[in-house]
Amino acid sequence: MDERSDQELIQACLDGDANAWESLVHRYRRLVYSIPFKWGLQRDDAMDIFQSVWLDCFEELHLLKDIERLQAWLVRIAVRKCYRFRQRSQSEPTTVELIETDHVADNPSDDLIRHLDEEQLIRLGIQHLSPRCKQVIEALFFEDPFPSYAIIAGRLGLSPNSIGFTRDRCLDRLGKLLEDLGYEH
Amino acid sequence: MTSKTGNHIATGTLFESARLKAELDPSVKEHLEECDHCQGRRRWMEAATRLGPKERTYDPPDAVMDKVLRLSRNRGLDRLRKFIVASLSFDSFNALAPAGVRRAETTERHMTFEADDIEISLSFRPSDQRNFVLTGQVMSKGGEPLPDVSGRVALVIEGEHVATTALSPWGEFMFQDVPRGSYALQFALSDRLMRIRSLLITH
Repeated sequence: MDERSDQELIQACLDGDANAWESLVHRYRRLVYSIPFKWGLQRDDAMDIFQSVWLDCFEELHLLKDIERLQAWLVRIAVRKCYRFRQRSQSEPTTVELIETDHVADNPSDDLIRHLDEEQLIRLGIQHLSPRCKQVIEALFFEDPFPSYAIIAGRLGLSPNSIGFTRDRCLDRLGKLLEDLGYEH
Repeated sequence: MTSKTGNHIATGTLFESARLKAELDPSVKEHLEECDHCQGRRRWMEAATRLGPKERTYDPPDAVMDKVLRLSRNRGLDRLRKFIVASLSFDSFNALAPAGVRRAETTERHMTFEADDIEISLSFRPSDQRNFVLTGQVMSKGGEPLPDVSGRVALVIEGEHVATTALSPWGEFMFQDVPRGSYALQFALSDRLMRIRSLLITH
């Protein structure tokens, strides 16, 4: 995982470092790709919007080096592209995950930004975990149906009796990382 | 299972209440209502739960990621290093109108911008009540077309490239149905980026 800040990565891109661009895209790929789905758009449209946001980001890098938060910029551009897409297609979404007014506005609301910030911080926190803890946390939160503790223990090569301790240690570690990343409870 | 460790609710208990909706004992519930620390821990666990299984569907397909990652190669990071802001050198709305012609009668506006050895001519005229047609040409200051077949121009609103088009071999471009508003124009040439920072299209 690239530990450089967004600003350092942007500057490195401008200095010709292609790896910095890769790190930037990897850091925010899920955030950007998730936004069209939250607007109820289909996968093909989400792929187009994802590419379009990053194309704009690439072309604007020289100006983005001076902004405070790249994340907020990416959210704003992605939301506007979803809004314009909806205007062009004049279609109503089949499902909208966020029940709020964002689907009729071209600027993201404070609530949406807070919601997406929380999600992104959790992603970043998980990226900072050890591979073992990452595996535990992803199983705990992202698997459907929820796997039994015996299954998780089996995957990790642990006895079912000790999985509780491992689970708590990984949860505490993630909680601490989130605190360090500025997650506001 | 121990539901409290020290003065706070045990991590596992909080997790199971947030993720698995497990009922809390009355004494634990009472503590949670009064303890900011435990409420905070439970809140991030609830947020992670909301993220849930969908999180795994938010990985863009490999082919799409490849296209985005290739931008740094295909479009060239080197080009980004040469970024030039074009400056206004002529605006027909600031020029004196010919004798007998009131300025309000002229509906077409012409502007010229300069950046290094390049000149950008712009012209916009209303196409209907709300929209404009914006045409332009990029050429050398000597009036020669640029030897650049890959040039593109983008109409930008607060960082978003809302429309893009390729430059013709003579450096010409056109945007139709541009609503009134404030824009930037960005020209991506093979060896540089040029920007007109602010273009207010109002009349």
